[in-house]
Amino acid sequence: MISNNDTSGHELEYEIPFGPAHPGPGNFSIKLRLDGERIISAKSDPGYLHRGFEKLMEYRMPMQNAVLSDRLCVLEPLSWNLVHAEAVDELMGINVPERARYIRVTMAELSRIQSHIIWYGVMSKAIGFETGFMLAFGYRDYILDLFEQITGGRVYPTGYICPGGVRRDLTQGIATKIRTTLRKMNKMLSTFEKFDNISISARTKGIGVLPLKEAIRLGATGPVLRASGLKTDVRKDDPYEAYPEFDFDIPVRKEGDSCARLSILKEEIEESMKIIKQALDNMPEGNFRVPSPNPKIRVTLPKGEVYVRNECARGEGSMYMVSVGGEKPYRCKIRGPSFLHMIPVLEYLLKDSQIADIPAIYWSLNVCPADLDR
Amino acid sequence: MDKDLEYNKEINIIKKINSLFKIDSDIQRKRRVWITVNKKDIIDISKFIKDMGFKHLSAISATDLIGVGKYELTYHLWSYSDNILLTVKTRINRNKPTVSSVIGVWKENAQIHERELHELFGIKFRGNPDLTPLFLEDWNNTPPFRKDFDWRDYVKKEFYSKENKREEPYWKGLPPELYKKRVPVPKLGVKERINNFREVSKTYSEKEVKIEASRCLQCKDPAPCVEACPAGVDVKKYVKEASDGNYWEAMKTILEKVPCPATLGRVCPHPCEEACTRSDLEEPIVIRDIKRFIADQFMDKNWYPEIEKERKGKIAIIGSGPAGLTAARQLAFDGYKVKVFESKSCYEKTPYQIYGGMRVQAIPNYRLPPKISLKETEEIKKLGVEFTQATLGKDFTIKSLFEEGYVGILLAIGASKSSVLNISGRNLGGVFSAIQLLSDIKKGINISNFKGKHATVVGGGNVAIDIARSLRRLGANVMIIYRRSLEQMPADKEEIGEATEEGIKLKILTNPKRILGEKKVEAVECVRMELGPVDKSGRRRPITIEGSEFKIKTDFFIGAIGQLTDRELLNSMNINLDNKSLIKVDSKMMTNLKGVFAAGDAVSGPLTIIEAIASGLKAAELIKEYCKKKRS
Repeated sequence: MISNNDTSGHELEYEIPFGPAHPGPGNFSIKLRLDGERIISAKSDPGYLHRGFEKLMEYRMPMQNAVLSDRLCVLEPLSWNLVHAEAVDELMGINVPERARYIRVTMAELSRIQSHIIWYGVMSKAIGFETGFMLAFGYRDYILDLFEQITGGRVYPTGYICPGGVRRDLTQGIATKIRTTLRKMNKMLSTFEKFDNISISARTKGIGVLPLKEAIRLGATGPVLRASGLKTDVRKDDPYEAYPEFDFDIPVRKEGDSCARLSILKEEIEESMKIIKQALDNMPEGNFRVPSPNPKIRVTLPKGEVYVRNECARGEGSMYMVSVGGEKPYRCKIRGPSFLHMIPVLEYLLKDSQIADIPAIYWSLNVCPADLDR
Repeated sequence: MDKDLEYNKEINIIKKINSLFKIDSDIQRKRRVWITVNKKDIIDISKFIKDMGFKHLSAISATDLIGVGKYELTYHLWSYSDNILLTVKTRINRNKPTVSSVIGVWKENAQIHERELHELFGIKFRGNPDLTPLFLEDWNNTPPFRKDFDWRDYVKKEFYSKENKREEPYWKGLPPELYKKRVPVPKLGVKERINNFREVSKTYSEKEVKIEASRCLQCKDPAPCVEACPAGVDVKKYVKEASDGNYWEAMKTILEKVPCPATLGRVCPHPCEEACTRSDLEEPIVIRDIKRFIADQFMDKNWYPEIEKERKGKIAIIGSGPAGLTAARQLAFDGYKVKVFESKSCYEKTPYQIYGGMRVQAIPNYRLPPKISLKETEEIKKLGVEFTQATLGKDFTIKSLFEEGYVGILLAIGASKSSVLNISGRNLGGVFSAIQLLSDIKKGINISNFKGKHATVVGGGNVAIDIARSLRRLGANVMIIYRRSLEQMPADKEEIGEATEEGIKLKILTNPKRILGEKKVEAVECVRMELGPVDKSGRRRPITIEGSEFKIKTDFFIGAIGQLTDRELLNSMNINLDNKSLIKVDSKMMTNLKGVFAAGDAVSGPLTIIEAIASGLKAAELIKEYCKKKRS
């Protein structure tokens, strides 16, 4: 679309869409107004993946919702399992057994590593570095193998982390296998290290700078906020599950550009590995799920409301659950990290940037249209 | 005391807010503070608590408390310095949900959350400049997260709206086999039809047409039926109009392209039905008989409006078959002075009308009663087209026509000469060509000779079936000999079926070798064939089986193996022909003589009626173009 717009002082402005195509930005589109190669303004156009989870959850019981919560985000279903399970646990006042807490943390962190690998992969592909993409997705499969053995599903665990604990105990000998996989992850990280100077930083340094003040104002969370310089992590600040019992660091960068976000990624994988090792070493014996109330049987959710915050791989994932004393939640508000990353943050970063930098900015935010649209 | 120390921070926050505003508060657990405020104070409290350090707006949510008629708005705020989650609750009227926007406090973050709530709950945020929907364009004006939102109703409205839905399913009240299968075309029984030339099939009743026409799926454009029709008749449109009962509209749609709907409704080889989408799964729609019904409704009425135009440019059309008639009609519409010439010789002594070409001359009455083509010709006469009985080469020539002032001439003389079988004994008495015999039967010449006799027809086309069935009606025992297999017979499958019902024997993979007899035919010597490899026409070539000769006793031998144009006549006019005796034309359908066009079977070889009409349509357009060029 070409329009002559004299009022803005530009002789010729173009309006072009970026997306929606699945291999491109996912089921998401950005409407760009361009002056030559420069982006005058960007407008996010979500809604291509809206499935109405919040409404769907009002019609289902907690155990059904646990399965449903997988589909909130394709790239990290276990994290969303955990958010949902925690909300129900807190609402029902269930004291989750210690072993279940450890298993949950292990799974959530494995999920985080897996999601970060995808982040690295698509980011490499976006800036034209196919090798990184192939390498990352190759290593991701080792973790998917673990998921398959533990939960039964490679991508979707079908509500493995459920209210009251987890569905099944860890399979025999899985600890060794996880450790082997973690060694492979170490190897992967060292390979990533080699790529850093030659391939990645040239395209990412100084691109998409998000100053800390703006980051807080626009509602950025998680790795994006930490890359801008605020040392914050829900796991530390608002601890849940067994996280207070583990020793790990919060990686922080000051630059706030795409490159900083990518280096946060790699460090976070290392920290996650640290947590998993500790969890495996100190894994307590006992029940993996509360024996009573059995969440598989119809239960009533006590009257009340909770707001649960979690640190998902791509930022703060929260759930606001209201119950009026029925079998089904009365209201379920899901707050995905991508909701703010993909609308205000992205619009802010794209403004006045170059069209060639769109991929480097877009995928450096580690976004997922699925949890934006819900 | 311990508890107080533990919740020190939380209590402090509540105290601070409580000192300025009237609030209800609750500490749910560590780091979770819930306060309920008045709707009016929301902006002031927001500013105040943001200054206290709650810089991160985690989410804004709403709950529909339908029991008390309120929406409960919740603002979930996080303080990075104190690590406390503060939830601010306020209630607003459910029926008039309006609240001040906190966009001034938490900026873009709040803007997006409010935009979402506006879409899902219909809450109006005063001061928020952009509340366009994020997810869907339109929720039918009902916010979906209200508890009284009927999603079933929404789905119904959205996906089964009036535009998307048929008004009433056509199968309503019908047994299921009726809509999967075609409505059977009413027919005379074998005993009723075998001794006379009454029309075999009958016209549908109105009820039957409505059922049959409403089976049409109305495929997306381009519809396969429209594409399959050589003349490009808008089949989809007239079938729809017929199912709606607008028969005159349907008639007009058909008449746009073809001049003889009633004839086509009876004898068209219906390529549209073969292409019909329904034929993929079940039986195709009986398009031909729908057309027949439509045409039969208007047999007593005028088809065309009167044209009062100044006649310009004389055009001569030689031959009054479908191609010639179509061209004549199209040119008359455009105000040309058209004259149609029909040869004398073919129609001597005929009791019926004479114009109409092969369909009048050769199609037997049980398929096409003469009054049908008469009506169609009459309608064209009313358009101002003149008809003359004069033979090309005897009464006039192309040269004489140009001298008389004709601008363009269309040769639509068809292929009226039967090809002759090149076997010995073809000059014996009792050997006929199919076209000649059909014409004779139609005129009523020598019809009593055949009673109780044996007749052998050679050929597998429609003409062969026509002559066989005609002879059967005259009382002969008929056998059809065809050299290929049954699947390869070019005749209509329905007609073959009807012929066998009437007791006509079919001998496939058989070829006549010679005709035996002294003065009159006594027997035919035939030879068995088998199918060999595929030839150029895409059919498997029949190969003679040596030594398999046998004799068939017969009194008459009729060859129906194809037709040719009149080579001698055309040669005498200096018209270029190709090696199959067909007229050579260029891309403008003009022959080697300037201003002389050719169309129909004379150009393409013997094809079907609808293809001749298509050719006539094309020729008319090109003649118009030629005349315009010549005038300017």
